Amino acid sequence: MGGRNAHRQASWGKGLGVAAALIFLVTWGLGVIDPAGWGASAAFAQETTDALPAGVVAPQQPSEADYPTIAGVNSRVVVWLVAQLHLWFAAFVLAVPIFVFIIEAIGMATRDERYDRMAYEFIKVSITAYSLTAIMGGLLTFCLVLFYPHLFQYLAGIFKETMFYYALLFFAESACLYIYYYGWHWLQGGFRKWLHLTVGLLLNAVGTVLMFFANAWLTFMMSPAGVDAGGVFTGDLWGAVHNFLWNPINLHRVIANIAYGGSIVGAYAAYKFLSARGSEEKAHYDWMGYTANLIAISALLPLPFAGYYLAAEIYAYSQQMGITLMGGIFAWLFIIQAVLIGTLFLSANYYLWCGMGRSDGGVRYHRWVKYLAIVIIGAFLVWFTPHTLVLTNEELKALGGPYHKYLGPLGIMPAKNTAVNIMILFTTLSFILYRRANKVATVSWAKAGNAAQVALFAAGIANILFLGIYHGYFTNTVYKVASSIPQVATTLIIIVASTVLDRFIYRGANEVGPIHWGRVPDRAQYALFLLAVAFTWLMGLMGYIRSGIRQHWHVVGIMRDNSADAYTPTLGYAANVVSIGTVLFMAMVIFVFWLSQVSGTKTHPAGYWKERRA
Amino acid sequence: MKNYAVPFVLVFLACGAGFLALDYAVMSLQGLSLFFSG
Repeated sequence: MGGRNAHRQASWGKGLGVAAALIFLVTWGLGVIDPAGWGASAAFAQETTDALPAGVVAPQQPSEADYPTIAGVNSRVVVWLVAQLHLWFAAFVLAVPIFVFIIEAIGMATRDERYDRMAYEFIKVSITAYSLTAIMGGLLTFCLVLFYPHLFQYLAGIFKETMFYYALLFFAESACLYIYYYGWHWLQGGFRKWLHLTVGLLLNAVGTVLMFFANAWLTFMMSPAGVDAGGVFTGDLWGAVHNFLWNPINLHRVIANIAYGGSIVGAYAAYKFLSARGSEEKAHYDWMGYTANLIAISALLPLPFAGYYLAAEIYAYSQQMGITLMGGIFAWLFIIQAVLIGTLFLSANYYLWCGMGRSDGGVRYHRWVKYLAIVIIGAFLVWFTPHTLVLTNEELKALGGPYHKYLGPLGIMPAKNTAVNIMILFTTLSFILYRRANKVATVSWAKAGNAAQVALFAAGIANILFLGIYHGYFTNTVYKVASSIPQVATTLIIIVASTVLDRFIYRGANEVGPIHWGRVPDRAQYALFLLAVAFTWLMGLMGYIRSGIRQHWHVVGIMRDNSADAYTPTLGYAANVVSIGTVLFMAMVIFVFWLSQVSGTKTHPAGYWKERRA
Repeated sequence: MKNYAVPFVLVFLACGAGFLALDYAVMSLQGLSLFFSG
C-alpha cells in the first residue's frame, strides 16, 4: 500500500512538475518574464523585438551564429529525437483511453466483467507511459527554447493563447486520467459506473483537444496562415490554427494513434502471454492480445486513405512540397515506408491465421489461407516496387534507362493504390474467415449468402482493377488522381456490406465448440511484437519526412532555418537517427511493461521485519 | 452448384453495375467522364 502511495505521489509529482515547467516556459515565451540576461540568444531576441512596433509578432531571421551551441550537442538531432519520443508516447497515451472507454462501455452494456478487467489493465499500462509523455514534452519545450529560441519566440507570440490553454488543459487531462485510473474500483455499479465512464469521455475529449492544439503549431510551420507575406501576425488566431494542413493531420493522427495504441498494448499482451505460467493467465493475455490486434487492424484499414488525403492536401497546398515529398529525395523513404506498411499487414494477417487454431472449426478454412497469403504478398510486392532504381552506370546502360521494362509501370501511384486496396480487402477477408472459424450458419440461404459475398468481393475487385489499370495507364494525370477516390469508396463499401451480410448469414449460428483462448502458438505473439516495432519505426520515418519537407525553412516561406543543420541529411543518416529513436522508445516501453509486472509482485522477506505481538 | 452459381451471377452483375454507377458519379462530381475523352 505504501508502495502504491509512493508511486501515486511520484506520478503526480512528475506530472505537475512538468506542467509547471511548461507554464513557466510559455509565460517566458509570452514575454511575461523578462528574458534579458539569459545569454546571447535572449539578448538577440530582445534587440530584434525592439526594432518592431510594440505588439507586432514577426519572425526574426537569425544568422548561423545566433543558434546556441550547448555542450557540443547537435541541436537538430536532440530536438528530432526528443520530439519523436514525445510523439510516440503521446500517441500511445491518447489512443489507449479511446479504446479503454469503448471496452468499458461494452462491459457495461453486456455486464461481462472480463471487459472491465481488460480495460483496467489497458489503462494501467498507459499510466507510466503518461508520466514519460509529460517528461518528454517538458524536455522538448526546454530543447526548443534553448536551441531554437527565435523560432519558439515567434510561435509563442502567435499561439500564446493556445499554448497557455494547452498548459491548463494538461492539468485537466492529468486530473481526468488519475480519477479514471485510481477511481476504477471505487466507481463501480449503477450511477457510479456512469460517472466513471463520463470521466473517461472527458479524458478523451481533453486529450484530443490537446493534440489538436499541438497539431496547429506544427502544421503552421508547414502551411502558415493568419500572417502576411512577411510573416507578421495579423491577429487572426483561428486562421493560424485552422491552417491548410491542420485538419488532414488531425484526422490522420487520430486514426494512426488508435492503430498504434492497439499495437503497443498488443505487444504488452504478447509479453505477458509469453511470461505467463498458468493456462488461465495465458488465456487472459491471449484474449487481450486478440482484442488489441483487432483494434490495431480496425484503425489500420482506413489509415492509408487518411495518409493519401494528407499527401493530396500537401500537394494541393504546395506542389513543390508535394514533389519533394514523393518525387524528390524523400521518395526512397516511401519505399521503406511501403515495406513497413506491408509488414504491418502481413503480421496482422499472420496473427489472425494463427488465431484460427483457437477454434476446432478453424481447420475448415486452413486451405484458404495460402491463397490469401499469395494475394497479400503479391499486392505487397507491387506496393513497394520503386518507379526508378538506384543503379550504377553499367546497370543503367544495360537496362537502357532508369525504368525497368516490367517493374517500372508498377512504380506509379495507380498501381500502388490498386495494390493497397486489394491488400485491405484481403485483410478484411482474413478477418471474416477468422470470425467464421467457430461458427456454423443455420439460415436456409447460407449458401446463396456465401455466393453473394464472393460476388460482392469479385465485382469490387474487378472495379478496383478497372479503375487502376484503365485510368492508371490509358488516361492522363488528372484521371489517375481522380479515379483513386472511387477505388477507396469501392473498398469501404465492400468492407461495410460484407460485414453486414456476414452478420445476417451467421445470425443464430451454432458454435463448433468453446473457443480455446491460450491455444495459439508462441510465434503469433512475435507477430504482435513485429506489429508494434514496425508501427514505431514507420511513425518515426514518416514523422521525419513530414517535418523534413520543410527543408531549409523553420516556417515555410516565412522564417528560414539559418542554422548549420539547415540541409537535408542523407537517407542513411536519417534512417539511423529514426532507428536509434525506435530502439530508445522500445527500451522505454519494455521498462514500462516491466514496471507493470513489478507492481504486481510482492516479496515476503522472512525474518526481516520485527515480529509484532498481539 | 445451382445454389452458388445463380446468386453469384445475379449479385456480381448487380454489384458490378452499382460500382460502375459509383465510378460515374464520383468522376462526374470531379468534372470528368468515366471514360477518357482526351
